[in-house]
Amino acid sequence: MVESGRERAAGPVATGAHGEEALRYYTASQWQLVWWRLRRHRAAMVGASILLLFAFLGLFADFVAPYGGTTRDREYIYGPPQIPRFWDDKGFSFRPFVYALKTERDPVTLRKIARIDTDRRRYIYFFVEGEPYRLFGLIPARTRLFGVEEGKIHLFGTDDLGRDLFSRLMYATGVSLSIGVLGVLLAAGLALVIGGIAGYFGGWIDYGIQRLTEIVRVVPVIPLYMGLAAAFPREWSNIQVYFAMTVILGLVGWPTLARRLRGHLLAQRNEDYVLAARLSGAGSAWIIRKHMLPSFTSYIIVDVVISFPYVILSETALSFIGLGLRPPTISWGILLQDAQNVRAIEQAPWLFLPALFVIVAVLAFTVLGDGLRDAADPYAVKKS
Amino acid sequence: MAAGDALLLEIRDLGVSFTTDDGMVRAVDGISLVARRGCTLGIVGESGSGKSVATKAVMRLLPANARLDEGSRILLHREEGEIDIAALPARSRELRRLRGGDIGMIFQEPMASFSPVYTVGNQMIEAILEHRDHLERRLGERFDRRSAREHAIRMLERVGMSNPRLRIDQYPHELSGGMRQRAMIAVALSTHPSLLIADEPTTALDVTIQAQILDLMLELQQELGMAMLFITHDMGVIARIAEEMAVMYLGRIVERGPTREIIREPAHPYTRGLLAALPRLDTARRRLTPVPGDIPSPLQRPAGCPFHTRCPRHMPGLCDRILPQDTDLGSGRSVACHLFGEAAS
Amino acid sequence: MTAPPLVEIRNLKVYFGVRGKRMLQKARGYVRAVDDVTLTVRRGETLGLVGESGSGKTTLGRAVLRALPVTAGGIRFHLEDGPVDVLALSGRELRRFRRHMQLIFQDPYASLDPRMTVRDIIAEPLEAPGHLRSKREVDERVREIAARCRLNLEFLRRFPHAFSGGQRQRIGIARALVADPEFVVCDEAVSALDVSIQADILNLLMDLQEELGTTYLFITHDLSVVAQISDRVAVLYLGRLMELGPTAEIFARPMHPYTRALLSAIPRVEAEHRFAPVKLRGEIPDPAHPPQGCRFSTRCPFARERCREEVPAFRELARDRFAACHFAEELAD
Repeated sequence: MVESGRERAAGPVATGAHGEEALRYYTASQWQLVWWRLRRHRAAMVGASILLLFAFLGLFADFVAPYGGTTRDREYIYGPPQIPRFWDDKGFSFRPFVYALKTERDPVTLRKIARIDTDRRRYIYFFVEGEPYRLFGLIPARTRLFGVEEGKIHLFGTDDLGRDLFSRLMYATGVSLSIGVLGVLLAAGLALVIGGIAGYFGGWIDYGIQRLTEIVRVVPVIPLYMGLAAAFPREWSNIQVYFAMTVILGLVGWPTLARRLRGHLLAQRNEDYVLAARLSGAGSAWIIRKHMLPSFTSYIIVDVVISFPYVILSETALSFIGLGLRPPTISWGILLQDAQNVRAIEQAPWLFLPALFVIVAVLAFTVLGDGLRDAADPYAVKKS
Repeated sequence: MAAGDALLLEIRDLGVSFTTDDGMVRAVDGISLVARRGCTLGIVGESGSGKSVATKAVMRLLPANARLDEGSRILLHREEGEIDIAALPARSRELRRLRGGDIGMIFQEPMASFSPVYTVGNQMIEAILEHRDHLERRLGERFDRRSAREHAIRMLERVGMSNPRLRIDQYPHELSGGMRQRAMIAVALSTHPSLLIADEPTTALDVTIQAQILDLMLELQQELGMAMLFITHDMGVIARIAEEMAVMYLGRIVERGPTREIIREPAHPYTRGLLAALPRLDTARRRLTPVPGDIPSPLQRPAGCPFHTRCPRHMPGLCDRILPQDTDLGSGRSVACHLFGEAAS
Repeated sequence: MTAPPLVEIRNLKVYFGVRGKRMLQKARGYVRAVDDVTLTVRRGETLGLVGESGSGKTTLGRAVLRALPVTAGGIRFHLEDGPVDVLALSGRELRRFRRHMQLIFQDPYASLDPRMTVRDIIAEPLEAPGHLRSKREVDERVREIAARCRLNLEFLRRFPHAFSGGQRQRIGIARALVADPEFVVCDEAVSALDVSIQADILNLLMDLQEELGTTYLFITHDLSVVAQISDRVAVLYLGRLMELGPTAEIFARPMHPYTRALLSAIPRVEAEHRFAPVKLRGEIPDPAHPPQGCRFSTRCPFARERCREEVPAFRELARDRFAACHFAEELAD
């Protein structure tokens, strides 16, 4: 009735659709609407594609990486990245190649130095037989995505022990992302239960839980991490440390999420349509199942995606300062540990490549989270 | 009402379009209006009629995704000469001086026009000092901080605030809804504007408070001799306050003229429909005559006459193709409908 | 001959605690949102309930539906198989009883869950209480009520975002009536709609009442809407009943000065009132600190000493006409 700010997007108003298209819009469920809106958010789609790529790389790290994570190439220590080429002064080749290496001794320090031998080409072949591995730790396999017939290929160069950085980065991507996923899921699970109880029951329970979350939130994070990480027994296996890390990340991450979930729940409880359901004789179970949960899931997804970067950064930071995962586990944080010393900066700047991955992943999550947030509530009031 | 010398505001071919995610929205589609000194022009319309957008355009308070048509003219005839508001640069000093100076504004939601962190008095004094040149021309008095405060107290008293000396040092949230509306009127009128734009100023108020505010506005208008542009969705309010009215539908003015005559004998089928749909006090449990159909989406403006999709007297082949032009009905009335135009005969 | 009573509200009080300023402090005072209201809604009628902000009209409507806790008083439903004390119901009993009473909301946007299809929304009062009904039976009933509410049956598989305000309100009405309740509270049911749409919905409500024999408690701030739809009107001010009587009579000859002022205040397009208009000064008092004596005494132009000291009784002044004013007889002429 009143124009200012109350005009809402209703039906054809929002699309200007006709006929078939309009009908499709009218009968579209929440998820379809969310997807249609997200699709129009270009940055979010780019972010989502990057994350999908990362997930693929991480999941199939053994296949994508040409070598194992700890395989050393003694011939090529601190070797710079080898860039695939299609042509050089000897002409053009359809098959990309890198140059072979020859080892020389530095005349002054007498250290071994790898030199690029531009006379010898090493052609890159796809789906080659390489070191054996177990896909997902189960299926034995030998096929790797790419490789060279003789010698080795190091797309991103090697580290101080001659380990292939590209391969290590693939494994790290898998570890870091999976630790993020588990950490966030754990946090979301805790948040759902705790925030849900607070938001649904309200009153004294809510009050108590609120104070508790505040206490957890104000504990300074780094000392807490340090304390918890220091408590890991040295003799723990890598698997144990890995899961302990996810638990820590989850424990630290839940209050923020719980608070937001509680907020959504409280707002929801006062929605007219929830009252309508109550006045229709619906019990709590019906209201939660039919009204609260469906509206909730979209918020949960958004919150989870948005809290991802924090978890990943926490893992990276912890492992970087040596409190999180430990070698021989490979994660982004551990790779960056190698880039800690001055010699690395001076001699092997490519050791910073993992940082680029961290930055891109965090940005992609943030952008996707933004897009999801805009799309998640397709029924929000539209200000014209 | 005498002669054209009382002419204050002249809107010619005002058009406003919005670029939205879903396409172009034509909110105001070429309207022309005049407001005279000492006169109230009521603009009545439902959702999507563009009445609010049109008046915001007059103050150039449109959001960033709005665009004024090239040929739009908003002429303000001041004593110092005429000025085209539509041609002023968006952030110009002149525009700022006009707003709250020559043109006063009041809105539906008074909290939106007050800053919550300053007292009412503080904001009034700032406004008075900001427009002191304008006030000097109008009142022949140059205000300093002290005299501005006295002026503000006088204005608060004038709008019927009890205990203005106490109220002036209160924060907006300390006032009740009706009091805030009064305070906003006091702010708007403290610079003695020649034009007051009121956008649904009483819609959020209770009836008894609304009656008080309407009475106050009528009184003040007569006292200060300003022109008033009063926007509302409520025919009853228009009948109470405006001598002349314009009925808007989907961005166009469909009918205009003296209020009394339009209400007694509406010409345009939409105006007729609106009046027939209005519940009345004198007939209990009468079936009402609704206007059939829904207001079309602004993204899908009907071709031809915008009302033809709901018009009971729609003439196929004519109304859905040709946009009706204003037809003069005499005695200051005009209507944009083919039933009255030459095309009908 | 008057119709038998359907809902009897007796000395109903709904108080809200005002939280203290300090955390966890116990209630510091009360807002008497509804204070000692006695009112009977008759079977098949539309009782209009009007009032300004702070009058407690919405609270009263929701309290009757047991959507809010009641502080004191009684609510009795007279159903075909005997009277029911609604306040005594709890848990499962109350949930089962809810099919006798329903609510139509003001905001056609907030009151429909955007994630449910129109069919599911309308079917909720049938499905939610867990009565054993086949899906077929429910579908049939939903189609029937949708048709009655002049909703295209094609719309049932659509979601609310496909609809404009007027159509959404029809969906809300269909939901309220699907379980065939005897009593429906319409809480500002047409206030959010444009005039041209509002008339349509009012007509629909009147038609449905004729077809189904539903009883309405029609809450609104808009007196002209009340004039249009209700048989009787109750006027509330700061939680108390000021006047009650047949619509036509009240509008022609209001007995309480507040009703008179309210009627005088409505901006109208038609001819003026037959009674002398009353103009009010001052603001509506804060409901947390209502005036002593007659609640209206601070704004009443006729208030005298007695009004400020003694709460006026709500008494029958003429046949079927009630008002709470010490001087109603004097002022009426």
